[in-house]
Order: sequence, then C-alpha cells, then structure tokens
Amino acid sequence: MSGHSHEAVYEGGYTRLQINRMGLWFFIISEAFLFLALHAYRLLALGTFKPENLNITLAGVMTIVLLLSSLTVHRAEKAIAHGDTRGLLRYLLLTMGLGVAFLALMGYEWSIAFREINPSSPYGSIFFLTTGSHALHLLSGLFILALVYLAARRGAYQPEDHWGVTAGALYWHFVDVVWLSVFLILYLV
Amino acid sequence: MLPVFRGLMWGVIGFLIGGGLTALIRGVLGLEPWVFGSVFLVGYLFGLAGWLLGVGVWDTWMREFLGLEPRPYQAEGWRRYFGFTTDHKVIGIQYGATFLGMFFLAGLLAMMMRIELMQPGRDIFNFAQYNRVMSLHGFLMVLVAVTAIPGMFGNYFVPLMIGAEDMAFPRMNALSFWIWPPAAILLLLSPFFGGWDSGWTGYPPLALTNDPGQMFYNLAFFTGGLSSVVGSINFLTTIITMRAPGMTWGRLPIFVWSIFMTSIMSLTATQFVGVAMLMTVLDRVANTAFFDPARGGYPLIYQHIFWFYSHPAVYVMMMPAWGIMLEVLAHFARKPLFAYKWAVAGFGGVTALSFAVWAHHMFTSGMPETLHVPFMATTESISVPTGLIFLSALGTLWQGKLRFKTPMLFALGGLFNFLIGGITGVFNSDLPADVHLHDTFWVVSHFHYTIVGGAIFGLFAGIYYWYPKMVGRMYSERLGRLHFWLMFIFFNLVFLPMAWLGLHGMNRRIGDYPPELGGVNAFVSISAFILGASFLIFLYNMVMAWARGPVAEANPWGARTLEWATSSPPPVHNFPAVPQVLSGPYDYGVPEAGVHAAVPVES
Repeated sequence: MSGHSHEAVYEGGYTRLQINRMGLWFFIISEAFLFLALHAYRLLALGTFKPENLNITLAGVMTIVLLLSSLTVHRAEKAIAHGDTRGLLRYLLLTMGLGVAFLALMGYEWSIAFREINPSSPYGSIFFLTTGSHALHLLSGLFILALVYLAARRGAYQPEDHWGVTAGALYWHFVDVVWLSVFLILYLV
Repeated sequence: MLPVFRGLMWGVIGFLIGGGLTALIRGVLGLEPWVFGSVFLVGYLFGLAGWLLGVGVWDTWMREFLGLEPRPYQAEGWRRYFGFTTDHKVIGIQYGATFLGMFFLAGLLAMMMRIELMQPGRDIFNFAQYNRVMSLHGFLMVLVAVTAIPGMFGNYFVPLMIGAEDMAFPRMNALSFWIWPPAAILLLLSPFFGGWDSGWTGYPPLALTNDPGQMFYNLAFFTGGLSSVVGSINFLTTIITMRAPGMTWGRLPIFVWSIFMTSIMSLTATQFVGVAMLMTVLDRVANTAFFDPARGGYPLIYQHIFWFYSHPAVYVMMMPAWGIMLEVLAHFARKPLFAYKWAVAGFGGVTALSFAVWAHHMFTSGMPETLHVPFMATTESISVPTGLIFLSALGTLWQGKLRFKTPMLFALGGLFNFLIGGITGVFNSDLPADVHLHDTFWVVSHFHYTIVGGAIFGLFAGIYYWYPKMVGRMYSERLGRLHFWLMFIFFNLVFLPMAWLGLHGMNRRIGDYPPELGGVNAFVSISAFILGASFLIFLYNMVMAWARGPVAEANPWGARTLEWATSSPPPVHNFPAVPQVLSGPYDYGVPEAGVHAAVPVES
C-alpha cells in the first residue's frame, strides 16, 4: 500500500497477516469441495464397490510417508519461528524429499494399476482422476516449498515475519489431509 | 506493448507448444498424432497458462517469488483498462464492458431464434443450427447473469461501501478478471468449429458423442469457474476483514450482504461444475468411463454433479440483483430498509437451502423415486426465505416518499417480474405438474421471468443507479425512462405468452412447433424485436452521457451509503482518510441517526 496517505484500520482490527491467512483458508475450503465432488461421484456412482486387486499395503506406506512429511514441515515452521534458518532449510529439504518419495511410490502404484485396473471402467476412471488430482496438488505443493526454500536461502524470513513459510506449510498439511480422504474413500470404504 | 497483446502472444505460443508436445508424444507412443481432442485440450491448458503469465502473472507474482523486483503494471488513462491493473474500480469497469458486450451478443442470438420461430416450419435454420444458436445464447447469458453484477458492481462498490481502499487481494482481483478473456475467445470461436447443440447444461451422453465444438463449452465453463472461485475468496475476505471502523455487520449495506452470501455459494459449489466439465472432457479425449454408458458409465450422475453447482448458480444470479433492488428501493423510498435483519436472514436461508434443491431439475430424468418428494419439499420451502426478501422490499415501499427515477423504475419492474417468476416456479417444483411442464416453453417463460425479469432488471437498476458514480457524468433521465417502459412492457409481452405456449404443447430446444401456435409465436417474435431494439436507446443514452453528459455531482441521489461520500468517479484509494461509520446505511428520517459515516478530509 505504498503511497497511501493513511494507515488502514479496520473494524475488528484485522492485520495484514490475518487477512492473508483468511484468504488461504477460503482457498483451502474451496479446494476441499473439489475432492468432495470427486468422492461424491465415487460414492454416488459406485457405492462401496472396489476391485479385488487394490494394493492397500502400498497405499498404507504412502500414507505414512505423507504423514511424516506433515511432521517435518511443521518442524520447519517452528524452526523459523525460533529464528533458526538452517533448521528451516534442513526440514524443508526433508519435507520435499518425503514428497518426492510419495510421488515415486505413486508412480510405481500407477504403473501396476494401469495393468490391473481398467482406466476405461468407472472405478478405474475415478481412481486415476482422484489420485491424479491429488498428485497434481502435491506437485504444486512441492513447487511452493521449493520457492519458499529459495526465498529462505536469500534470508527472506524472520521469526516475526515468515508468512511464506506458514502458507506453504498450511497448504502442505491440506494436501496431506486430502490424501487421507482419498485413502479412505478409494481404498478402505 | 499493451499487456493484452503480450498475453495473446504468449497464449498462442503456449497453445502451439502444448498442442505440439501432445502430438509428438502421441506419435512416439504409436498413436495418430493430430487428433482434435487431446491436442486441443493440452494446447488450451498451455495457452491459458501462457496468456496469464504474459498478461501480468509473470510480472506481478513470479518475479517476486523468484526474488526479482516485481514490475506492477502502471498506466494512466485508457491504457489502465488493457493491462493487469489492480485498482478494483478499473477491474469493475473491465468486467462491465466485457459482460455487457457478451450480453448484447447473446441478445442478437436470441433475435435470430425469434426470426426462426416467427412462423411454423423451417425458415433460416435447420434443427441442428437452431440448437447451436440456442446453446450459445443460453450459455453466454448464463455467464452474463452469473458474473456481470458481482464482477462489475461487486468489485467496484463493495470496497467503497465498506469504506476500504481496495479489495483484500488486489492482484488476485486482477487475475479473476484476466482469466475470462480465454473463455470468451473460446466461445467466440466455437461457431467456426461447428458449435455445440447440448444447450447450456451439456448433458451426456449427447455431450460425449457430438461435434468437437462441445469441448469449447466444457473448457469455457471450467475457465469461468476458476475465475468465480478466485473472485469469491477475495469478496469473502474483503467483507470480513476490511470494513471501516464502525461498519459492524448490522450496518453493512444490503448489497454487500448479497455479495457475501453469493460468494459462499461460488466458493464451494463451483468446484462441482469444474469436476463435471473435467470428467466430460476426459470421457471425450482419454477414454475414461465416467458418464459414457457405452463403457459402463453413469450419465445420470453428471446431472447430480452439474446441478449441485448450477442450482446454487441461479441464486448466484439472483441474489446480487436482489441486493441492488433492495438498495435502490430504500434510497428512493427515503425510508429505512424494512426488516433489514430478516432480509439478511432471507439471504442466508436461500444460500443454505440452495445446496439442497438441485434434483428438482431431474424429476423426469429417471433418478430414484425416493428422491422426488424430499426435493419437492426443499424446493417449495425455499420460497420462505425468498418471501422474507420480498416482504422486506414491499415493507420498504409502504408509506415511503417514492421517487420514480430510472433506477427505481427498474427495481420496481424487477420486483413485479420476479413475482411472476416465483409463481410460475411453484408449478415447476410441484412434482405432478412438472412432469407435464418439463421441457416446454412454460419453463423457458419461468426462468426468463426470474433471470431476465429479476436479475437483468436488477443489473440495469444498478447501471442506472451507479452510472454517474462510475463515469462521472449523468445520462438523460427521459431516455432512461423510455428504455425502462419499452423494456418492461415488451419483456412481459414476450415471456407471458411463452407460458401459454408451453401449456399448449410447445417444446423448448426444438426449432419448430405445432402450426396452430403460429399466431402467438409471431406476436412473441415481434415483441422480442421491440424488446431488443429498446437496448439501442440504452446504448445511445450511455454513450452520449459518457461523451458529453453533464458532470455528475458526488451524490446525485442524496443517498446515505459510503460510495456517495467520495467524488464521482472516486480517486485511486477511494477516500482521503479512513471513514468512521456512525449509524445505519438506510436511516432516512430517523431523528437521532445523524450521518451514516464521517469521512475526515485529511488524516
């Protein structure tokens, strides 16, 4: 708001940080409805039907990898809150590593699923679209964390001012929670 | 170079790269490389990304993310309107110009349909062409009805009315507008690729087997949905966090409330139509089996997902128009808005119920019969919160000192039309009646009464109400009234007979009808041409006022709300200093109320 003649004050005393945070939360709510729509198709069209040969063990391992990455991204945020930029960088790298590991497992899973689940069947279609949408979100999360990492290397974040890290972490947690719903609706139900 | 041209250039380059890569990959995999479906799809997605990067996303976001100095678009005069400008007032006018253009284009298509329907038998179109013209008319008008008011007036007036200096996320606001041009380009190009004949609803299996022009519809809908989501995030955050001191929830102008509730629906339900479009496109290009019965898919599920968005969408069309109508009624009746809290509750009730009525579009679709009665009940109960809004309007008029200026005439006309729209709607929601009324011109009459008679009359009430503020000049009141009376009378002469036609067996979406209905159809067509011609008066009035109308005062209507407390048009950051809100926006004639807000001259 440079060049503005007055300091903005609002009813309710909202700060810029709170405004940013609220915007991100609305974005997350909206994105949750995207997956709600995908799950709605699965449950409305197919009920609880699922093919015999789903690899639930592999999906379980992927779940654990992703939950671990939520833990590390949380550590990254805590590190910068205490002014520890090196800790932030280390945990960001770890998180991105776990994210890449998840995508690698997912690629392996898809290579099997392409043979065993017919993509031209309703279950196959919703399976690939839902896991693919999630993977795309994870990929965008990786891209955001990479940008945060580059910014952190330039020293862009301080203990009292690290909205970029918080936003990246919040989005990453969201992508994790989405995976839990995908695991539940596609594999377990 | 103007950002628009840079965006176009990068859009074309993106399209070529995306399409070329797809063809290359297909060739390597041993498939036929140049098929329309997947090459066009990937090309479009790359083109969309290229367009957005070129038009301003690269300069304002990506450079910042990469640690470079961002280059925000700075321009004066007319150049502001052709780039990634973040001023909410510029964005409002960009939306307005774009969507009024689409409105008149879609109106011309309606005139062509009425030429065809003027007498029985085939005249200027064959059946296939008629359905393509009808589909493009319907979809363009749906986009106009959904977007014009929030885009133009929401962006322009929400920050002004709550006393803020801009929206919460000005760059995202610019993004929400600049997502639209690729969708508009798709729709303008679609006739050259055969168009599509599925109406604006795009039901499979037809939408999976018809000409490739169908994909233009799918992708344009998807793109528009993207913009809706981005815009609603911005509206919700702005309205919650950026109200001026003293602007409590109970003092919020009713138009701002209507945009708030509308945004709740756009934020959430829009994702469903995005998914419906995505699945249809995948069924077409990637051999998936979501809706294709030939592969075991479920076409009926499309209708559920589609209407889960598209029924709330009709309230997305209607609610901001209600906001404008209540706003105008209170200011021109010189009375406090009657039952303000109940009107807000009505908006809330409509928003909540709008998520639970979608299957009333599907009474004849063969869905499980157990769903029929519950959806009939929820649909009929939505008239309760709608009634609250209507009663608020009537109570405001009661014993008011009515000033019959052009905006007031449009608000009153909208009120009248919407009443007929509401009454005809009761028959549609009633299961035994709907089985007979479904897919007849009765339905065409009903939704034109609500959407044109209500939402578009609200849009024009808003245009005549806020034009002096946005342009800084005044239009001719005489021509404004002439436009109103022509539009109001001939609107009713077009759409009331259509209800009768529907009851006498005239089907919608077919370019012909039983010969004995010819006389009434000729009457409807001639009325429609006069209705269409009335907009020429509007255009003449607006252009002349813009070119050499008298300069408008800051507050020509003597209205209390904050947008009138600054100059016409307002300066870049709206107010010289933070306004202090002291009382309600509609406290006309309330002795102890004082002014709505104090705007300090210098802080």
